[in-house]
Amino acid sequence: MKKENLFLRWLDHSLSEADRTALQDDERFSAYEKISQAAQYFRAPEFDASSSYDRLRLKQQEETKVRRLKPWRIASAIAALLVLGFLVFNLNADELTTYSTATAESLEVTLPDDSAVQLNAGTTLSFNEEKWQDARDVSLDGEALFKVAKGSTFTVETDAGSVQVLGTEFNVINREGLFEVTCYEGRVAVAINGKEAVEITAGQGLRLLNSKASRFETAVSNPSWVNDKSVFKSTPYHMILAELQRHYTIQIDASAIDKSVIFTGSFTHQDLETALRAVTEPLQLKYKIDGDRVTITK
Amino acid sequence: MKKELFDSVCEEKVYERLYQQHARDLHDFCYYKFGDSINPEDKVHEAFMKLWEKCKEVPFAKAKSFLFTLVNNASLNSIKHQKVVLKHQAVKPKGYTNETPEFVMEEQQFMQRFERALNNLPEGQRIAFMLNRVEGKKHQEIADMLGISRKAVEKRIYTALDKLRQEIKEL
Repeated sequence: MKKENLFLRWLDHSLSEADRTALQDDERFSAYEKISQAAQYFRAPEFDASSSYDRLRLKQQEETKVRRLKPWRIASAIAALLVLGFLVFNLNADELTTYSTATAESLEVTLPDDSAVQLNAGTTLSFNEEKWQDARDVSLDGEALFKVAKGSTFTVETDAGSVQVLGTEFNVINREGLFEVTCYEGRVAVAINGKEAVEITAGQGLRLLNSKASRFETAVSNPSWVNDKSVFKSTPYHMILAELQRHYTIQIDASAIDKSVIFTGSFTHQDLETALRAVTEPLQLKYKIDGDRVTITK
Repeated sequence: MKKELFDSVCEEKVYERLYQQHARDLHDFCYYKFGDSINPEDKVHEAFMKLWEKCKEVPFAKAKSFLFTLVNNASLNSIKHQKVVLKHQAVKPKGYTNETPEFVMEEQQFMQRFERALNNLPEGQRIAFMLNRVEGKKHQEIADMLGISRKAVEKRIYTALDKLRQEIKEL
């Protein structure tokens, strides 16, 4: 047998004793044997499969606690979030954020773009907070003063027309038969239903009363109601009475008088007696207070 | 062997049997591959955990090669661990110490040289050589473990042996 083959057999642990003696005196073989012996010093550390298996199972149990629960937790968390998000989105998507003021109440509202809106008594303002980015629309029923944040644009929608904001401070009245926009700062574009938009600048106002549009000028820097006062200029008397009822918890019976008469004047929001005198005396009318009922007569 | 067809790795008994059969070889394999830079048992556990995760996909007959492939493909992430060092075991295989100081000196020098040479062997050669010389594995067994041909194993061992011989011959 060739020596190489003997070496191979030796290496494969299948060398017979007889063949081994044939290699005994070979110099290379003794070197190999020496190497082989030296290699024993570098043996892998002892390993006990049974105890190692126990350690593995222990690891797996810990792993199970951490791993198996985690995906489930994440999945359920995601599911819960989805459901919640879906609900919130669906509930909110078409739900408007609405602010209303009751009688004698005033409210300051901040819009999503940080614009401030001050609501006069008996006013409802609503907008879609969720879709603010897409549709910056504010709908108004009543009267409100808008102080628009710089660089911000939105539209105030009313049933009589709309006001396109061009960065400004303005007051909008939208009450039965009256649509009035007063600009105190900057400019706004007012579009009365079915008509081309008109731009008004600071100190100007646009009024639509009984389908008749007119422009007017104002010297004041903010609407009177902000200062607890209601000021009227050539306004039908029933509107004055309506405004009065918004600032005082009263029921006015004015069936005995002509409510279409035009009135110019003001009343305070602080005291009912003073207010009533202010709106009745110039027209030589009389009033009688009976609890929350007020009767106005000639 | 027919029974094996129905042995599922997902069964704990089967799984444990696989561990008893192969864990030690895997452990030694890992040690000769990575040296003392890692705890070889960790790598064995990693492989078996993977097997447990995929127990439905890995048939019993393929489990062994699955395990060895995992260990074989395992690599060290950390660069500082790239230098593989097989530790010189403190306990000598032979117990006698009635040697002359010169002999002990020579032996020490020899072992130092040997250690360096061994650690300088390419990974594949070192694994095959150590499994063969130290763990007493036959060529075919090593071939199965490494997933290479028996001829390739023979060549690796032979080359390793010859390299080591060249290295220490100068002494």
